[in-house]
Amino acid sequence: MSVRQLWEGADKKGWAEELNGRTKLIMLFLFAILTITVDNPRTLFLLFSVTLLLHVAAGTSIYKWRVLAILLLLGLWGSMFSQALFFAQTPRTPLLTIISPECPYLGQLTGGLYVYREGILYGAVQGLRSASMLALGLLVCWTSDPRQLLQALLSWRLSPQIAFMLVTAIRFLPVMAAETGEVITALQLRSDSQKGRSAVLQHLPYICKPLLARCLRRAQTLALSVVSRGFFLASVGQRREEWLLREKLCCLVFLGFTVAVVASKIIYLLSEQGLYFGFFRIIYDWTVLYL
Amino acid sequence: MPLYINLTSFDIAQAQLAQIKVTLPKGFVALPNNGWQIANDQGQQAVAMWQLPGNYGQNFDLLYIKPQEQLQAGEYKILVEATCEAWQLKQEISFNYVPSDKTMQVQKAANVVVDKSQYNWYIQSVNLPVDAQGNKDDRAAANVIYVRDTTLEGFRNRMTGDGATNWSAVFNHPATFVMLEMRNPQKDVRVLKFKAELLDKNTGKLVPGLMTAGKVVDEEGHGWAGETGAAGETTAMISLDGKKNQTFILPLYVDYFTVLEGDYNLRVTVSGNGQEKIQEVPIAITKKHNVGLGAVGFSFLCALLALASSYRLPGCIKRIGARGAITVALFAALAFGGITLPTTLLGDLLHVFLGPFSGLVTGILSGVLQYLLIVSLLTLFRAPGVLALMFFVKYMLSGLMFGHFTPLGALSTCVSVVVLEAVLYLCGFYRVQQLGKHYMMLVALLLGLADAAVTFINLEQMMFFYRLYYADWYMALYMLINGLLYSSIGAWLGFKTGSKLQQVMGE
Amino acid sequence: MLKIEGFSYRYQSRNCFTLKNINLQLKPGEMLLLAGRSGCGKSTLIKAISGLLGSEGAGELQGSIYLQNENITNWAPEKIGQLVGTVYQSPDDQLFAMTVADEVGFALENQGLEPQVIAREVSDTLALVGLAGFEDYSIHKLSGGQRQRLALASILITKPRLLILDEPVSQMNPQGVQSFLQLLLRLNKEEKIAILMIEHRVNELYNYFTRLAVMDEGQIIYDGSMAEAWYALTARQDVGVREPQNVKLCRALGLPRLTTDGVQIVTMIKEQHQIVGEIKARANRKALAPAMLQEEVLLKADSVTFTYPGSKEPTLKFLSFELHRGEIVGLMGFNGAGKSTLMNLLGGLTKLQQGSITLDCLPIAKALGKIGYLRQEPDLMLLADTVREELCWKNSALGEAELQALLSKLNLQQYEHDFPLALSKGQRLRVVLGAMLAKKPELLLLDEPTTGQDEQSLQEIKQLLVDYKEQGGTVFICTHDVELAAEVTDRIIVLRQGEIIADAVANRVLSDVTLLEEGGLTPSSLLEIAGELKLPPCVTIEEVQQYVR
Repeated sequence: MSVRQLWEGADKKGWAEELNGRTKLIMLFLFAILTITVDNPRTLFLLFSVTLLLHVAAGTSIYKWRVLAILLLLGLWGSMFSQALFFAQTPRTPLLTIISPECPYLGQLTGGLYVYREGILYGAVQGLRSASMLALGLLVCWTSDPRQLLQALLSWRLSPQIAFMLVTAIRFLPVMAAETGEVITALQLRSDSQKGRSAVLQHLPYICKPLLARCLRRAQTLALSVVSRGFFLASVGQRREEWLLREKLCCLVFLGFTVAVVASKIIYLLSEQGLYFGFFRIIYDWTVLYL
Repeated sequence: MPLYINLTSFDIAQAQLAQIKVTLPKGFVALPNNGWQIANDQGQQAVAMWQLPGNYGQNFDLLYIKPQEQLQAGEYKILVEATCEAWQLKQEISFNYVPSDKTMQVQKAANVVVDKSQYNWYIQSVNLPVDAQGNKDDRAAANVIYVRDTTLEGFRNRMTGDGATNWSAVFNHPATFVMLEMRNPQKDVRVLKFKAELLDKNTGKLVPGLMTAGKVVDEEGHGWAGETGAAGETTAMISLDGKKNQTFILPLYVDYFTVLEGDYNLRVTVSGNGQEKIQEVPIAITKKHNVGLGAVGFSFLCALLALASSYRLPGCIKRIGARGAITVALFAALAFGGITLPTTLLGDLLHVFLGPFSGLVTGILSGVLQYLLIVSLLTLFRAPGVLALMFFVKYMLSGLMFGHFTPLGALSTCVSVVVLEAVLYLCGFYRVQQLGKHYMMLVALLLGLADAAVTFINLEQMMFFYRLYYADWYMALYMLINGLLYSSIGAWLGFKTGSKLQQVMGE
Repeated sequence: MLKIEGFSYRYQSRNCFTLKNINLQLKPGEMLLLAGRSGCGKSTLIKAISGLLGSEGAGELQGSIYLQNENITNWAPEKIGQLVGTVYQSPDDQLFAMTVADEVGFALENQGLEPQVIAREVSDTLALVGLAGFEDYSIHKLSGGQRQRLALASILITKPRLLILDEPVSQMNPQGVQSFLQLLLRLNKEEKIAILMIEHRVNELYNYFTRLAVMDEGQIIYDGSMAEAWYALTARQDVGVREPQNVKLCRALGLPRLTTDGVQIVTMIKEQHQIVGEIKARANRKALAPAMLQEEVLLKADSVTFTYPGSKEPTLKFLSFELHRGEIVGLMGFNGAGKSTLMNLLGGLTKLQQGSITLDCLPIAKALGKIGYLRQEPDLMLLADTVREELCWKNSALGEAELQALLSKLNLQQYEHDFPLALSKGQRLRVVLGAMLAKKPELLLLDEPTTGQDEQSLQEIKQLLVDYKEQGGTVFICTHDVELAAEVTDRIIVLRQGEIIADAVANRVLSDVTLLEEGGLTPSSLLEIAGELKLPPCVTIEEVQQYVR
């Protein structure tokens, strides 16, 4: 399976593929709000598990599971690494000193840099947020054609010209990727040393120019073509895809749930700041225990 | 020394009667106290009956324990058992006993000189937070100290070379007040020293975080304005006036810059005339993330502004024409393919080796390349809204191709658009006739500064939404390298590239 | 159908007019071929007819354009788009959608038609261009030829009465050109669509058009029948029109009539010339390939086999060949024969799997500094800010005198400080070629270097290659252009499905009609003439001249 295929929607038609783009986008967005609202590690883990279960239910292929696992582990590792260094809560136990506070300059600037045991665990828990979003995002990506999502945006009155720009960008992504490869090849061919052949970042501005020039020429041709075909005539909301009632209801229920969760959290946070009301007691308890 | 026991009830409306049994290790004896019965001959077991109030109600008390003379230093364990009709709880407390020289001396001196019965004052309770009048706000969580957010001051102080703490700029008020209840059965009249310290919850070691006011500003009452007296503790003098019960309201000064959020034990020591009474109270210190909240507020404001101006985008497309719109789309695609894609995939890989510093490498793409593309595009199509269009298409691409429709991504995009458009507008980029080299150097620098601000807001948002921690020097490093340096370089290269590309545009 | 009267246009940024007093008429159902070198104003004329000059800022416009008797000079492009459809040079750049149906239906969607109507029209139009059933195909899955047809379909859906095609076949191989032209002819006949095609490869298209117009410096210098055009162009060899080989032969032999008709040429030669004896001709033929005599091996490939990962069949199968110093060798064959793979192996871009390739007795991987490789898209090889910088890129050994000499040879002296990517197509190609030559490589690899180049640019490149060869350089050139191969190569290797099916002197390979057709190439028209004259096979005008006095 090529990298391109990895990011393209699947050809098979399962329940996940057949969901309306609007349903997917709403669920994705609400889920993201949920993950950033929740603090409780168990609930975070539950949300993360839900995303994995959805992958199981959607029949994600073994190859994509592997990719998902790598990305999730790398993401979690990133969160653990950063929080191990910057964990700023007590108690914290230094496992390793990277920069001693006595170290000239750096020590003074940073006040010492340690790897904290508690930070590693904290990073893993907090990393569940982005892991959940990544997993669900990839599920949407793997079960949707970009056009399906674009249709959803169009039905929400996205300007057709902007939709055209998006389609154009998606259409030319692989073409430009190939051209970038071609320019890097040119760089290799024109280098005078073996080292120069792999110095891509160093030659970034040089790589850009031919690519951008090609973009401008392409834009010129395409513009001529689409203006004649009525580019500026297009008006909002011409094509609508059917949005099933049961999907709408699901979205409504999930929206209600998310609003309730966010409201609970806000009410609780206000109570911490002194805005405490006795009749919200059950909400405070619920928030402390689960959110 | 006192053993502090605090019991929180469950979510049950009724009060419950519980038996509390404390079993001490060999070498320690429990001293008789109100409500405690010493259960065995060696004084190693104490029992009390407690009424636990309903609805998470709390009950706590102190049991005074004493080590035997010549007791060896080492690790000891105390077993606390709480038994009720419906449940039973057991907790074993492990602690290290080290007889200090001071204690030994005090003990020796006491043996010789002091008649203990004459000076039997002790700490009844320590409550916090309370206000300056000692009123406890029932709505505020008990034993939690909220401290103000000093990220910006800390950052400024580091930048100005004042070190992490700039005392005079910060300490005007104590973080909170502590209500200290003293029992003085012998009606002693004496001046005592009060000392509050923070202890690590796990190791019991003293940790920094508290301060002492060295000089009080008289006009303002409580407060501090000058050099510190002692670091790591808050000290004060209290005066026993001969009453059996006496309450003191004492200010607690917190070093905002060094104190960390988290759970601690607050050790309160009252000493005088060769005696020392200690009580430890578990507390939590919570920081108010004002800067994070401010950053999120600013982001929402930017989002509102972006949303309110979004109706102008189709007009911008009309102004730059189909060629302009397609160029923007293609540049955004390049930005997505050349920045978002590699930073998402390679960035994670780099994380393995470089950890949080991987951003300094991927920043070459997100800083240099991004601004190269933005400024070269703006050089070709100089109109308000072009930048917004490019950011919007890039964000949508990331959503459509990766499923990255995150609220944080949307907010970051809005912040970048509003801040950068504002900077470009304010520096007259859209109005000047000719884009000269010197002028563009200034623009590049301003864009770098704007990106530094955007970087700061994004990091603060990450900390706020994802509950992550980043050191202020780390944020400063990112703002400086990824924000100012990379973006300014990228913007300058973008101008040079854009100027060349103008020739490719032709007619 | 179309009437342009005294039309002139000056871009706002320019001092002089790009189009000067253009007068042109096109009848309904007529086909017109408009030729001219790059930058002569052809693209501006297309924009003018399509109504797209208005979107370019306020330029100065004079004269009028009528379409079906209506003055459309100030019409919006969308309105003109209902009557005139334009297909531009590179099909890849004018297709924006992700699927075939979306692309074709775009124009109707913008008109606000019902989805059912659009779907029906899309299917009908796709059937018209031979893409029936391709509705849901991703554009990425289509071949180059299919994309060209799709670009055509996306225009035809609005049922235009005039079709303008801007160099539509410039990127195609000869067989692709034939197939596309057949389609256009059918559209012209069955749908009665007038066609205005802009193309300088007149040598491949003259059979399909009866009328030719030639533009130069914003003016139409010839507008008349194809048969008469060659006379008008006799004195104007600088206008970039690539004439048919037969016409060039008539000129070279000084025949009284300039024609493309082989039978007439044979008759004229028989009437006015003498066929020279075989011995003399053989002696001359040897002189045509002097490099072959040197026989000093520069590159040796032995049993080279290459299989792409995941592929069951090897792309290259046990290839063994040699390249000699001072020799130009052509590499020809069908698409997918393995030409690019072989070039990449020689250029060090692909790692050798099996067999060996040595250059100057060194394994190829260690001799990459001695190789210059110009790839199919020279634009993507231009990296620097000025032509000068481009030629000196990573080449500190190049002295000022050598640089100036090279600039002169490339005919780029006046562009020394210009931005290479802003130059014309031919100039851009020469800059990249120059950058290669500046490093004095021992072997120059060229992958389809002449695609889309006009006649003048082609001649300049030929000259550069010949000069390089004379200095002892070796060229390995991959091309579909039989005429170019015949004129510059000493030897030709033909690949088919990863195997060498011919490796012989250029004349021998290019005169083997069966072999050429197997390789997907179009045989030279001179072969037929030589055959009629009972001459040995000839593929270049010089060869015919050897036999004719």
